[in-house]
Amino acid sequence: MELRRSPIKLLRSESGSISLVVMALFMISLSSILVVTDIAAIAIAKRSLTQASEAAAQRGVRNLDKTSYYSGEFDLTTQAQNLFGVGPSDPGVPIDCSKALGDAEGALADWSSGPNSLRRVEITNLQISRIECDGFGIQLVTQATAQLPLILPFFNLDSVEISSKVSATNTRAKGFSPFGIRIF
Amino acid sequence: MKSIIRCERGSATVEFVALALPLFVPIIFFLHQFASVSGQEEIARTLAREGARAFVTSSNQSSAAAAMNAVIFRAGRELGLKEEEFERMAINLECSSSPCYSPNGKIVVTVHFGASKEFRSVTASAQEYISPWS
Repeated sequence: MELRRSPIKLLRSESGSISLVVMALFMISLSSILVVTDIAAIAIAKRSLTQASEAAAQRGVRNLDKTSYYSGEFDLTTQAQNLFGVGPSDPGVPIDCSKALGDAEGALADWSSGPNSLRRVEITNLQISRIECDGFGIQLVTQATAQLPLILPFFNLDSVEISSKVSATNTRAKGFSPFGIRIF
Repeated sequence: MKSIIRCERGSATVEFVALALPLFVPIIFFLHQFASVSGQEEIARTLAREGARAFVTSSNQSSAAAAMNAVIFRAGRELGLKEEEFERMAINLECSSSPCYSPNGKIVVTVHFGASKEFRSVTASAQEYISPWS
């Protein structure tokens, strides 16, 4: 009779129950920290990638298309109209697309081959997945692999793909610059 | 005396402290270190980026370095850096051409926070290109 009651007693006994609770809490905390640390590292890596893409886009967009820039319908009449604020609207600054794309790619190549302090250590395999130019601005979509600082057990996940999409246009500085000489 | 030793009152507390402290203290220590290093590196990266932008958008060589330093210190204050952190901070500017502010020139701004009792050293850089029309 005593033998039959022993397992029940053992199950009902509360000694050691705190250990189980603590261990369960510890496992939950550990899993949460693994996930949160990885998410934070990915977020920071993505921001670093975006900053590099922005710099590359800004580098590319500075290539002025001189032929388009100096051709058009602007003459003394339109200049006079502009002085009174009734001139034609500014179409934007035309850019040389082939030079812009080359410079943006070059800037990203510089960034990925530069010193380690330029980018987050998690970022590898940087590539431009899409690059577009419409004559007035460029759009850049970059992609990279972010290595996770802590590998998640059971998921066998050690890296994720991150991407960034930026675009840049140029603006004309307001003022009066006859023949390229800036007066004000 | 025997009854005091055999008494189970407070045993749960002892069990909890004996198990929880060695398990959770390293976790809290790791979290604190990870957060502080990541935060410091993010601040350094932001300052380097903003400083580089200030340099390349300046109008000439003489004002560029001053604008860069002013922006970095202003942004640092906005981001909550204390005086002791400014003292640990070093700014370095590398240029691909001379003078630094030359058309199409590349600059790399590096912000370094030296190690202290609480933090390890952190370095972050940003690169920018000066306008061909400057």
